[in-house]
Amino acid sequence: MTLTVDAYEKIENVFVIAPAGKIDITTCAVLEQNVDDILERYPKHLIFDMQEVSYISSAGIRIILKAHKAMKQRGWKVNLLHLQPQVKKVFDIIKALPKEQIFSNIEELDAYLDRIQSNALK
Amino acid sequence: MPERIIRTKLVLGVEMSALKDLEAGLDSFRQKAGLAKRDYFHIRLALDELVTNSVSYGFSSGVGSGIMIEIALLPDNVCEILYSDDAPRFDPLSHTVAPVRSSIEEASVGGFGISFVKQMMDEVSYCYENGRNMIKMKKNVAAIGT
Repeated sequence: MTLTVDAYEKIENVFVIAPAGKIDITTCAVLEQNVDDILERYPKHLIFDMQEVSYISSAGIRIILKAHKAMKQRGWKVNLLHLQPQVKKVFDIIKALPKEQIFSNIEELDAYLDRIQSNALK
Repeated sequence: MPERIIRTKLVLGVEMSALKDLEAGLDSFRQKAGLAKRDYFHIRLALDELVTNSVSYGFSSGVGSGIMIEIALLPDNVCEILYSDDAPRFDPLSHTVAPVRSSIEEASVGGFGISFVKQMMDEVSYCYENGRNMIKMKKNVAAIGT
C-alpha cells in the first residue's frame, strides 16, 4: 500500500495538499508530515485535493480533522476537493466537515476563493 | 443472488503488515463473491479499523499470536464476518466515540475507528470465547451484478 503526497502553494497563502494512493495507518505518516510542514507556513486556506485518493481509514481522516482544528483556531478553513464517491461517503457518515467546505471540482473551489478574496478587499 | 455460500478465511499476524495481507485477501474474496464496490469498501474499512486496533493496542503488550477473519456471503445476500484475535481480553465496542465532529477531533484513534465499524455494518456484537476476542458482524450487501 503506497501513498505519495504533493504539496504546493496555489496562490499566495493558499496551499494545496494532494495525496495519491491509499491512506491508512501504515501510510498516513507521510501525509501528516506534509500537513505539519504546511501549517508551519500559516496558510489562510488549506485545500486537500483528494482526486487520487482511492481509500481512507480513520487514521487519514484524523489528520485532516487535525488540520481543520488547527486552521479553525487561527480563524481559517480547510477545504476538500475532488472526493471520490467511496471516500466522500466516509466523510458524510461522520459529518467530518461542513458541506460548504467540500467542493466537487476546481471551478467551484476557484469561485469560492475569488469570493473570499473579494470580500477581503472590501 | 449467489446460489451457494462463498467463504474465505484470512489469518493475519500481529504486525501492521497485517493490513496489506487483509487488502490482498479481501480483494480475492471480492472477486470470488462479486461484491459491489460500495460493499467491498465498507467491509474493508470496518476490518481495517479492527486490525489497526488489534495491532496498535491488543498485541502491543506482546501477548497474542494473530488475527483470524472468516467471511461468508450467504445466498440471501447477507455477508457474515467473524473477526477474532488472541490478544488480552478487550471489548472495543464498549469504547466507541459518537461520530460527531467535535468528539472526533478529540477522540483516540481507536474509539474513532470503532465508530466506523458500527456505521459500516448492520449488526456488530462482541464476545470472549476460548481465549479469543470475537466480533461478529453482519452486512446486507447488494445483489451480485447490481
